[in-house]
Amino acid sequence: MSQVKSIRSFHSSAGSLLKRPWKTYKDGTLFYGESKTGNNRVPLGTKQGNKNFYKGTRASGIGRFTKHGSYIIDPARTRTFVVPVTGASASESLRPFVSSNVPEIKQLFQPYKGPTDPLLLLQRARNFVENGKTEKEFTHNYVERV
Amino acid sequence: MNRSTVARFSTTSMAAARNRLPTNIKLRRPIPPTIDNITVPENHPLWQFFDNKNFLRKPQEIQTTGRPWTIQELRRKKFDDLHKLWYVCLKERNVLGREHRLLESVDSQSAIIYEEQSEQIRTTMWRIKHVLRERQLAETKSREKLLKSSELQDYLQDFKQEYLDSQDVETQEWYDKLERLQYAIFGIPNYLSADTVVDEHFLEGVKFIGELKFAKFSESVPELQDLGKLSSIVENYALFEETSNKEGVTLAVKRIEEYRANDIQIPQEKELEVIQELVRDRLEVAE
Repeated sequence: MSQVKSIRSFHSSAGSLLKRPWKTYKDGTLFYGESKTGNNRVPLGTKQGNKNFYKGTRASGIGRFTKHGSYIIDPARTRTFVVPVTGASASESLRPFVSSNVPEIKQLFQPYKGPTDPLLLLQRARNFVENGKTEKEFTHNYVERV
Repeated sequence: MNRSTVARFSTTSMAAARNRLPTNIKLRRPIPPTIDNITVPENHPLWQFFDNKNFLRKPQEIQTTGRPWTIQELRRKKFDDLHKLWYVCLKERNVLGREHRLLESVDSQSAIIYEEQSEQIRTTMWRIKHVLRERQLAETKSREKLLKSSELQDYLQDFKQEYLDSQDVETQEWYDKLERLQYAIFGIPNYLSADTVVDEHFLEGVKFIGELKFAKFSESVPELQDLGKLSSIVENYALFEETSNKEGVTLAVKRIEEYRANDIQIPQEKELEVIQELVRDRLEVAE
């Protein structure tokens, strides 16, 4: 009890702890904080937002409750990850970094608009039908004609 | 408490205990748990969070000479490789993240290097996503715009003309070309499997290939000419399925004659269902 008293000793009374932020000291400064409205730049919680606001990762709902209150997980609704085999041989060829000595290639899509142009896809399909799988040509300054 | 029940209970439990425990048991000092008494299996999955089973690489050991993969390089990779690369990157980031977390409270200055490398890998990872999104966009766009376009129809017309003009189509070169055409334009793989999607493009492909073979072989195979016009999707499918030479077409003609004997009419809206059924039957026979 005495400890509590010592902590509160810098306040005039215990009741002053209950003061609201709009209550000020005699000199006009706020009881605490910088503004009366408080910090409102915080993330929305589950209680804020309108009816369409959903705060969650949609990670739940992977099963159903039984009438006894236990939960049965449905394996078909759980998240699964298809992990490829990255064994010794695969990791040798694919590393997270590329050597800085490898030149950065450029790709030319003209006369097509870009990599998602449907006509480019048709041209590539045509090329595939005629010649099968082929390597694309490079110019001397590492420009690849796609 | 009833004494007799307690007595009966205790005798059975003691008899059971006598059976469980050897009587000549020796007490010894308790073994304190130490790290030496724990053996970790070589293939423990958590080893994936360590580089070469090192607890912590020194900042000098971190290789800083590489650069992230560029979008152009990733565009040249197939899906499986991108999938593998994603997981290689993810695992490396896990290792770096663990090491950074360990070192940052002790020596935050030298811990920066782990975070920098991790950020570089993150660049590779968003680029992988970018390339995959690009491919998906290209596919949806071409499905919307290309399949009904005059460019594709012109190309198919050109191909048909070239096939009809060719003197000898019973060569490996033409067999391969036809296979590649049906795969690249209509998405029909060389070998059907349970994963094969049978949709309206598949249907169009069956029609195109069937009519192509009909036009080519109606002169050299007289039985085919006797059939008149192809009137049903099942007839197209029979021609589509058989090899594109005289023997194959003769087999297809027999199938068509059998089918015509039944005298079944297939309305246009049912064609896709019929093809799906035929493919399913074919897969069941193969099993």
